[in-house]
Amino acid sequence: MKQGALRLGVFAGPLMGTLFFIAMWPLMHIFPPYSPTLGVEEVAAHVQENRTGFLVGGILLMTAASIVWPFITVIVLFLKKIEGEVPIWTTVTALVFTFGQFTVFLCGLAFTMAAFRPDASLEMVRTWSDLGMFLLVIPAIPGTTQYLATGAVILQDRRARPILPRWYGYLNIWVGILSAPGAVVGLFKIGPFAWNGIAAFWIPAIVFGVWITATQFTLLAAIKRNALADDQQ
Amino acid sequence: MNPATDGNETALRGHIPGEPGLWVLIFGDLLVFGVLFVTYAVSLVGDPDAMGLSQQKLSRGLGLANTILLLTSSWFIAHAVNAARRGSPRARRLILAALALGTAFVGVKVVEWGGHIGHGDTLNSSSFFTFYFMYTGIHLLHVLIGLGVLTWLARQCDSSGAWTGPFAVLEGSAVFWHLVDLLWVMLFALLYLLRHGAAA
Repeated sequence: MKQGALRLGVFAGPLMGTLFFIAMWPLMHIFPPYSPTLGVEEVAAHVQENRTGFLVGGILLMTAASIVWPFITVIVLFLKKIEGEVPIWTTVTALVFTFGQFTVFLCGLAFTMAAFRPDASLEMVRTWSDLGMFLLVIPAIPGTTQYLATGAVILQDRRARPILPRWYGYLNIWVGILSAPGAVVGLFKIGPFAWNGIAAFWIPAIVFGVWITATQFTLLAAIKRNALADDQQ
Repeated sequence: MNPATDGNETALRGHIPGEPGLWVLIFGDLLVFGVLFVTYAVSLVGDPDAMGLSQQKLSRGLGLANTILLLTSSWFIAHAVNAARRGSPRARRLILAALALGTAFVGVKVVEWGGHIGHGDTLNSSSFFTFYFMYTGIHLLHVLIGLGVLTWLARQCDSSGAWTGPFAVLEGSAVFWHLVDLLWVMLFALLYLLRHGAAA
């Protein structure tokens, strides 16, 4: 059963993650993010110094949001296999995943806007760059819905040998709970819940890294044993 | 058949409560809360006067009430697990008691939060209240998920009130509920009781 195509689909995940990281780190220099307390001139200077990085990074972010679909499709196929004829939570996962990639696309667009016109006013540059930062961190909120829905699908599997391992279901619930603090970054400019803080940025970022790594290994193992063709009841 | 061993040989090799995968969530959560606790402690040491001033506004009485509610709730769920192990029809009543106490915890939390907000101490009015609202908020998310799980457990009992689902599901859910309890005890100690430096 199309194992080659499925494996290829899985690799769209790490490819997306790599593009994301290249955009943020060596190109835009926003990993770790700049402080929300920076003044208008400082943010505008940061964008000015990395203008090409912001423009190319914007393209990479939009590309990341465009090439991730085979990875999402493979996840959804396995979830649908588990849930069967009325795949409620699989559908929720798929819809929120789609919404989440839209925010990644918009994030790339916002950083492009910040760097596009060299003669733009400094306030305008900071406004667009701030929107980019928000779009990078705040979509952890829909992420929580998505991970909890995925966890709910995996844990309802009653097969003697589950299609996806149960620890991976619990991992999704863990990731979902810990992504939630990204919701509040609009309230704070300093401290652990600011957009460069430990609870709103570092924990969700590390947890997401753990999730995407675990997802690859879990999916590749399930593809290897041809779990989509599994006929246990 | 003894439901505790439920058709596998794990009992012979030492029993893992619930199921092994659950402990990814339990230890993962403990790890991250550990990081959050250290972040708070560093902040407390760094600015003891300002933190202590806000900290004095907390009601230790309400915090203690919530501690007792959750500990008692945990006690009931532990007894529900025992009742299910014996096949006793008391399982559902014990689960519902745990559920009622957990709901009361949420009620007390709402009253407590409402009081602080009424006095003008909100999410970003001071560094202490940011920690207080965010940490108790993240904990409350755990409580709400736990209450959802307990409700679902109560529905898995038959008309006499005996547990009918897989034993590991009940046991694993109880482990999660104990985690919620443990995290609260830590939060109570750190946020309400622990004072540092001049403000002690």
